[in-house]
Amino acid sequence: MRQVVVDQLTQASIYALVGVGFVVVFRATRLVNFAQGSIVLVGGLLGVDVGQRLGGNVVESLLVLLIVAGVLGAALYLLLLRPMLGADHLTLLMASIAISSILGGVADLIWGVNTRYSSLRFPGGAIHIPGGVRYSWTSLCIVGVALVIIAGVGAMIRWTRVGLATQAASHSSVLATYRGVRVNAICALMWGVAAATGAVAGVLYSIQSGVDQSTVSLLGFGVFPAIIVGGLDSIAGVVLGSLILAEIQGVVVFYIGADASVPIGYAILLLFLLIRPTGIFGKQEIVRV
Amino acid sequence: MLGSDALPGHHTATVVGGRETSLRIGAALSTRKSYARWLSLAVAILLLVVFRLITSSVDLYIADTALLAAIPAIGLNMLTGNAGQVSIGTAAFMAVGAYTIVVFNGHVGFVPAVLIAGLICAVLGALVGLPSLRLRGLYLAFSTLSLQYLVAYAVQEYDQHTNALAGHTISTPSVFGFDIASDSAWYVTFAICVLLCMAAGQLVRDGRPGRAWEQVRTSEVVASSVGVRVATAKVSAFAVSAFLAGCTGALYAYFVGNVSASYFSLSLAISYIAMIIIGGLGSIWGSVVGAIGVTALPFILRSLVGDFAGYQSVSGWLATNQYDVDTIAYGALIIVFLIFEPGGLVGLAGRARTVGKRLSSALRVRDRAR
Repeated sequence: MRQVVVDQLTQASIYALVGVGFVVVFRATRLVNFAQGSIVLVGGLLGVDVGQRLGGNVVESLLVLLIVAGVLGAALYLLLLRPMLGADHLTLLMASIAISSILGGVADLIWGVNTRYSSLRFPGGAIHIPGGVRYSWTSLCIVGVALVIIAGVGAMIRWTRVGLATQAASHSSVLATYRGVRVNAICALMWGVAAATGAVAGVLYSIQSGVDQSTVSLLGFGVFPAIIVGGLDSIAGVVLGSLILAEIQGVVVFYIGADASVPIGYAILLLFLLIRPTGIFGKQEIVRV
Repeated sequence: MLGSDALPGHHTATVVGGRETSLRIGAALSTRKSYARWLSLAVAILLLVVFRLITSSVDLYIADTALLAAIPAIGLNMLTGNAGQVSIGTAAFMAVGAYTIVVFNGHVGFVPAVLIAGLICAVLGALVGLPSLRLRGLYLAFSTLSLQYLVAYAVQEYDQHTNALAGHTISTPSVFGFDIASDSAWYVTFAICVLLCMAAGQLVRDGRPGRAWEQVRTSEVVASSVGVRVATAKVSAFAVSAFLAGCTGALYAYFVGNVSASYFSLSLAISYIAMIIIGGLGSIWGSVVGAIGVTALPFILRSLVGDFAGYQSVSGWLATNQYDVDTIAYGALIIVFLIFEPGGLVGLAGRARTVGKRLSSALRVRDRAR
């Protein structure tokens, strides 16, 4: 049991990394990106390829992957979503579902249905924590990489002009344009960031569990509970939400079985929707009829 | 249930003048519309009969599937296109409907079983619609998505506990002593169901509930200030769409004769969203056209490649990757329609008619100038 709690930290860090992608896109475009799961899938598969090409060199592979996935993500926005700038929730939501469908099909065509594992060479061995619990160096490195990237994105949103411009863009794209914010560039950048974090999450996940089509529901739709629990627009919230989700899932899987993992997440999500739809850290949107 | 009390009764409202006027306008509109309404139903009947006369047996099965898909599409389109509420839960409601039949198998007659399945889903739909009173747009997508995952888990567990990993077998249904077993019998059954849904749908949409939904979609604040009960409108829209999805699940169970959990997937739910966008949001004909289009798409793709390319390798590749190509095509079509023609195929037809009118009037002007 104690082992489960410690092991789930790795899962939590990957959830958080995917969740950060949701948050930045939501902050920029007010879109809940249903395509994030497929982005994680395509990014992860791409990451496996990149890792193989570069002989498993961790730093190089991750940097190349960040850039490639970032460019692809931005391109996705510019090609498919830019024509819909200013459309309502419903339209954007359906567009992202459509993108998810396209990416899923493309991934299946290119890479097939086999589960693929990344060959990134992290140090082996494990640390022994008092109490009979062991934690592998690989897991520790995964958590480390995730935290560094999350902190980087968080700092960008919090302290740079880009972060401020993002807020302006989502608040009112028209007003932001008047004040000289290049809304399309900002949105494209945020899509790039989301794709990059998603891809890294995918490849980190593939080291221990492998990526295949089931990853879409596990790391895309499966992360929704974490972002609702944490709050749709808060990075700190997503980290906390991921931790809560991963730990609860760990306990449930331990006692009930692996099939219950995603449903229990959605049960938590429903509960939060009814009690506190904005999540723990989310900003209250004032709408009342 | 259809929300005949979506607008408050005469004695309660204070804005009597405004409400009376709007109701009168509504009544005038619906009398003028009633001709068009019956005409469009007649056209639908004619098309269904003509199709049956000219079709082959292979196409008949596809037609059955398409007609069956049209029923929940009509419901979902009322919810999304008319009432403006998002739902990713269609497949979940269908699963509940189908598993109701699994439980009832052989104990309850065909028609009552389908209706009971629908009613159970309507209640469930109203319950799922309840969060919509506090939540909007994107949050609703989450609550219906939760439903999808929870129901999928429940039916999967049910399959495992009943040792039915190959699915549950459903006995052949019969109505008034006739067995419904052949594709041809199903065609008649589904055609009647779709026509009923279209007729009922048009009445509901042009009536009070439909006008209340339209108002809620446009602006909840305005809706509540002119006396529309927003809560009733939303919940009734959810109930209606869930009812139709539930009935469809039940019909599907009988039609295929075998029910298993894996069919009611998230991608099934998404295919219904694709249908209403491609067909035309807020339009009943759009739902039907979209359902037919999306169901027939794989076959159209296959025949297009067969006709134009003629290459053995291309059609072979397409055959092995059929599922992926379909998935990509759905996605691409949704995007294309969202960007270029938000009105869907029906909107496209409307636009063609406008262009036609303009052309003909331009020609007339030219003739007169001569």
